[in-house]
Amino acid sequence: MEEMALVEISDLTYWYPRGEKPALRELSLRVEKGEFVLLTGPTGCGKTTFMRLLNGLVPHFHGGVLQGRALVCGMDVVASGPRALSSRVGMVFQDPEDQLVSTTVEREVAFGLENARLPAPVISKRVEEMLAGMGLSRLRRSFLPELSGGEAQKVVLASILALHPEVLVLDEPTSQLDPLSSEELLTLVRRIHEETGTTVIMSEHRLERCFHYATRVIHMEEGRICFDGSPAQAARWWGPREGAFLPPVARVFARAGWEEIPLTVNQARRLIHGLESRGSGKVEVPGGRREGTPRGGPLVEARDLWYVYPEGPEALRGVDLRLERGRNLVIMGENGSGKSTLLRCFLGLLPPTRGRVLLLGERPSRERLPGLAARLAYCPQNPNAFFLSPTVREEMLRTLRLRGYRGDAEEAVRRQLDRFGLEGTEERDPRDLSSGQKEKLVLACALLPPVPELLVLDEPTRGLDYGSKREIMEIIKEYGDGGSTVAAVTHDVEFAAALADEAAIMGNGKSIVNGAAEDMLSDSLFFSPQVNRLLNHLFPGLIREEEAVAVLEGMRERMAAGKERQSGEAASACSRATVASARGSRR
Amino acid sequence: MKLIPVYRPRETFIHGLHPLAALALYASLVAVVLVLQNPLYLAVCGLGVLSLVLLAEAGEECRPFLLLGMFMAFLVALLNPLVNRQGGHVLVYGPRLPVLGRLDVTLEAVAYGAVSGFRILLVVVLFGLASVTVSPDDLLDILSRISLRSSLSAALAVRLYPSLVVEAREMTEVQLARGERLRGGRRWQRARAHFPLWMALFRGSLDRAANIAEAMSARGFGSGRVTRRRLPLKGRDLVVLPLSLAVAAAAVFSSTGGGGYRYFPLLDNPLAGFRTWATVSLAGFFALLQVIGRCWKKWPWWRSRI
Repeated sequence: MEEMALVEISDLTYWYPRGEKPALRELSLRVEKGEFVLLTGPTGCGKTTFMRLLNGLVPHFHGGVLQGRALVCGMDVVASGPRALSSRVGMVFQDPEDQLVSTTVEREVAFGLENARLPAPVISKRVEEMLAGMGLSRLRRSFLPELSGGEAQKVVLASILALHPEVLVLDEPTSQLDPLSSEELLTLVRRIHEETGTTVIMSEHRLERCFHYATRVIHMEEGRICFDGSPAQAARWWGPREGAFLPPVARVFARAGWEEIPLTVNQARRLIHGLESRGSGKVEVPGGRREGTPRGGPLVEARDLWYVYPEGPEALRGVDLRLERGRNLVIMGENGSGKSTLLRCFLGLLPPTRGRVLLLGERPSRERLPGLAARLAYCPQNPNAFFLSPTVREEMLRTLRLRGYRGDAEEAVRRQLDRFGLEGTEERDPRDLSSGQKEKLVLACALLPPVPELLVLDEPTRGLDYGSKREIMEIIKEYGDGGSTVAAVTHDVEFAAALADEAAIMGNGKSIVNGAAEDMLSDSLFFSPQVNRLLNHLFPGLIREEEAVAVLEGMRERMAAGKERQSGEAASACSRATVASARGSRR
Repeated sequence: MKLIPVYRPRETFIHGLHPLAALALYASLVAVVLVLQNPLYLAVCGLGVLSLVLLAEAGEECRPFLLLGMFMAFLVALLNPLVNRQGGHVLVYGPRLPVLGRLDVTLEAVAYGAVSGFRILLVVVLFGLASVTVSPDDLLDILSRISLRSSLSAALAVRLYPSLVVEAREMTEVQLARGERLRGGRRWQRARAHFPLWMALFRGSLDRAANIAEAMSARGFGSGRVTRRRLPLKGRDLVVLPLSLAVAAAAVFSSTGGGGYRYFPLLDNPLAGFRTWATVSLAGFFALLQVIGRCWKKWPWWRSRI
């Protein structure tokens, strides 16, 4: 008799209440015990709905209509519901802020156990076990709102694992975290999978950190499963499709037309090993250094900038930074390094404790900032902080009004919506758009006429999939090509490499280093893109994906030529050997 | 970075009290402050409350409450002499107004206003001290025996308040950068500019509430009964709880048993009603808390005993 799968879904279709199209269509799949399933797909493809289905939130919490059958841990999802499934299917959502209930870490870990009505000694034991196992003991009595995003997400994970679930479901768990915290969390998930055999089903945009250790990849589009196979098969499947849902290193090989697609930098190095010295052809790197000449002096300048929070730490300690007109500056650094404080000082939202800031030739302050709205656009980390109006159209009209635009406002809005691919969203509530659309709308508002001289971006790619990131990148590039200036704070090294002319790395309230992006984002474990880690030893300063694709295309061609030569040589060697053996046999 | 004055766990004697003992302490002191009339008793209470703030190492967190209390105290001290026309020693003869009559300011009304203001200051500071030293989770554990849902709602409010403050700050800053003039202008203009911001904040809170409800549902909340944590009373609680109640009872007895103090028509002599036994008891109570608390902090052995 066939053993029952942990998750068994057959011919399932689901509509949200008032949903015109089904969110899940004719879904059928089996997940066996101990698998590590990575779900990929563009925003709105049904990944989150599928995960909600696994612990009964769909349809019990969200309502709607469900056809077909879903069995999880042997329980029918429709008949059982989230209460019965909660101790067998643990779910971690995107934003830790939206999941924490208690005020302290210890109480939070106990919350699910108390709901499961476990005996008090068992609760105490499991809380201790989780705090120790997840390295949270020192935070036991910490106030939850004061934890960092990474710590908070670890607390959420601990509170879920305390229930000893058979299936761990993670819906983009690192989308709100910085790279180091993401790395830590994903390593933890991997350890849990390996050491306990817990089945993991995860959707994640940072594919470079988890693609290679998934045992299975499922790709969804428009509520359907388009691909289901191993990571290596997924890489081959994605190859001819430009590799949008592959890690950067795999994507560049796919784009360069390689047959074999590596999943990690290590595998990629082995693939290209020896090619650098083979053949006589020299690989051309397009682009190279983005040198530029300053045009008309600095737009932003900080000199010996200090900021000390009242009753708090020294957030900035003598920062010197200068951004010339027409250049793109990216500021990187781990959480708490002072990046956001620096941005707030640049905008005049925080008065410097010591030192000086000049923004567009003025000393910025809260009082002066509204007066700079026509020359400066600020896109915050959280797009929801930007939206005040009930519709997309009104939000854009509001921006034009605040900027004192005197032209045909309706026409300007229509043109901008077309340009940003937001047609059809005019009457929608901005908060109901997808993350990618929200970010595009913020940029569309920011770049309405009169086009600002300076664009300030705070984590513009947080939580976005590769497709949305690429669109955003193209918009910003187009804006930058018009001679405008960009200052961006980001954790996304691939985005930083694509955008930056200059980069500054912050640490402990100081600008540790700053200079040309090619120097700053090279030869580093955490602040270099994957393509640099792969090719820096051959092409120092190569940081951009387009450059890597060109290099790999060249290598592929040389390898093909080498193979042809080798096969030619082998054929002639073979014929020589045949001749020799024939001669030998004659003798 | 500490965001706003809300409860934060800390290793002090006051933070370590059982919520019932802590509440008994603060409620008793509020009762003492409200019942006692003699300004000298209130001065002792003021010093005592200050010593408690220091013992709880909560000076910074209590500062906003102190400022709020001082503002309220100032208002009361200012308004009381204008509306209260009792008292025999007229300091200023004011004009005669229709309906209100003559607006004389008396020494007794000034003294009563100042003492009432001081009393309000102490109540506000005690309220602040309670909010920053009593764990809402522990308190709500006790209250959840009466109503689980209400106590959880209150815990969530405490948890989400800092997030709301941060969100409001972010929105304000973004709107300033977009050119919205949230500062300056007339009050109604400022209110009009802020209105969309408040609405957006409200909508954001509703979204967050829905997300949290989903996450709670995914963790099995709503199944009815839950396992409740037991919070046993410790030695320190068994000292503080009865002593607090005794002090409150003594204050009530003192104020009704001839120990009261009169402000009108003429001020009593504070020293005449300043009973030595009551003063020593009150000061002794605060001193005892200091001794136990300091020893608790200093000697692990003592801490383990109580």
